Amino acid sequence: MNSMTKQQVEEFLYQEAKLLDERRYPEWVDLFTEDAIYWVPAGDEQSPNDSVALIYDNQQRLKERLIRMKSSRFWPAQPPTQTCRIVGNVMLVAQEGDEIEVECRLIMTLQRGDDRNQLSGVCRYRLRLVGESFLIANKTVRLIERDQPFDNLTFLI
Amino acid sequence: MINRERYKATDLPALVKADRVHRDLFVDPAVFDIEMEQIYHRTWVYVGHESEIRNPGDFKTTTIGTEPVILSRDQKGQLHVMVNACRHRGVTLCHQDKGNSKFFVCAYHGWVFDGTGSLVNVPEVAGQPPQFSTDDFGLIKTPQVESYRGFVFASFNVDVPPLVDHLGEAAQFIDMFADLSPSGSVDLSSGVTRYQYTGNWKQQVENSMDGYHPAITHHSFFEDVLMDRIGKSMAFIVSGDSPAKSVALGNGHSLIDFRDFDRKAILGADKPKSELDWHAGVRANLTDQEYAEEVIRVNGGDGFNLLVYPNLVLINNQVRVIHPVTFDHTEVFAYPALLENVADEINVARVRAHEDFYGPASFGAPDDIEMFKRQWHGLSRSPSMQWLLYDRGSHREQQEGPVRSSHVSDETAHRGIWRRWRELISAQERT
Repeated sequence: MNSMTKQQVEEFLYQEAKLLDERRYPEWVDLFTEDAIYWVPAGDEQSPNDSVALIYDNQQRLKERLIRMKSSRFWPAQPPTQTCRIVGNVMLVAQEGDEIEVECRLIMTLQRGDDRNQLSGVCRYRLRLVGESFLIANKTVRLIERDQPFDNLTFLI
Repeated sequence: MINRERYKATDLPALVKADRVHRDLFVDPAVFDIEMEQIYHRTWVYVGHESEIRNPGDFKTTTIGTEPVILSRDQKGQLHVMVNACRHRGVTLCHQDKGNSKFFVCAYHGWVFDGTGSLVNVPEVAGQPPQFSTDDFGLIKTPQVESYRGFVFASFNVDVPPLVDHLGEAAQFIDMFADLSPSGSVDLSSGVTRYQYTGNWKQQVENSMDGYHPAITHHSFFEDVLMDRIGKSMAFIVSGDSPAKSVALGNGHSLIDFRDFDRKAILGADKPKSELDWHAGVRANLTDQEYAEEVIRVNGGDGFNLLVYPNLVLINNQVRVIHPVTFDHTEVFAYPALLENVADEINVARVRAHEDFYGPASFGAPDDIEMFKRQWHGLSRSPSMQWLLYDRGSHREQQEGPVRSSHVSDETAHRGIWRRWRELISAQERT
């Protein structure tokens, strides 16, 4: 893997984080391939079929999230949760054909009204090279808080 | 007027009227303490499902009210519920959610208890005085543990009525829920989603039986998402001339009953009104797999939401357990209910359906949690807002034996819940 590729990957991950923090969700969903999976496990399971997840979305469900977010009665986002995330420790894990496996760390601070929280975890991506950039074929986020009770995870991680 | 006196149990029944309930029953910490004693230490409380502790030595930890307990299956297969605190100095014995072990060893001084709760070893035992006997210091256990269709309940009250009497009219609905599975038992081994909120445990109890809120609270799902997904809103199932019902079954147990729906209109299928006859008739002629597919095709789940008062809800393909933590903090654990002896695809679909509506990132639960928080924000800060209303549908309630029912959007179930609350709070300690 050459250094140019790693720089491209990092730039892509920072752009993705920016879209989420700025709640530009339609643009964010456009980053996913048609056959993409976005998975946030609730435990240590290796397969999403073994156990219930916090989030297990395909393209259709990601698009449904956009519908819900646009609704005038999407109460859990009134007011919205503001997020500020740092993506780091980026490592290229493997490359196969036009796909790259990437692992990184995520730390995000959340603020909703006077309620402050933090989430942290390990993100694993499978990125597909399309032209000069990437699309996300798989994004899996294993939060260190995944077995704790949450009150609102309707913003995206 | 702010009531600054701490309540006694005898003060509380007057705060539950036929049509209204005083705010202090939600927001006063003294009331919460009385509830833990009079409700959670007096009646049957759900503690787990047998599928979570299938084998000898299996255990899970949970709570009865605020009290941490271990549910264990001993080496002979018997179930025990014991307080998760060492008898020496009260140190929590077991920190795992679930596991398998022959012994529970205290990390402080090394006292060892077995899966029946007996104290089996005390290090340096020569230092205990001569009258010391390990027989006297087994873990504190609930005197009552009983299982119904795999659902395990425990009670700290030695004089509690038998579990089947307590369940009463609710038992037949637990039967229907378990009978969705060809083996006659559901399986809760596919994990759990957990959520919490700033607010009182009774808010989740009431919300689980609330057929008035879905079209408003869940508008973004019932209207906006479903319009895209299936081409129509589902708000009609709880509004207008919906045949669905709000039902008080007695003993606080209650139901939102969707079974009278014209299933042809919703699911392209029909079935007779008697659920149990239908199950038996269909099962006789089909393989387990065909049976399960037919049940799901016709029911889309169980056809009802059942509250087993005070802390268990069976709702579609989900088992929801309510954990009071403090008067203003509540945790809710939700387990997908898998079916036994069916193709994996069916259970994967049930897990995905759970994620659709019931987890903290789903399209349903976060709406409810938001309402709990807003209700708490309003109620806890507004002493001048003294009474909460519960009289919707009181003019059109039907009674048949111990069961009262009315339109799904009515508060018949809630009135039944509060009648039971008042009864339990008023009960005197038996000697």
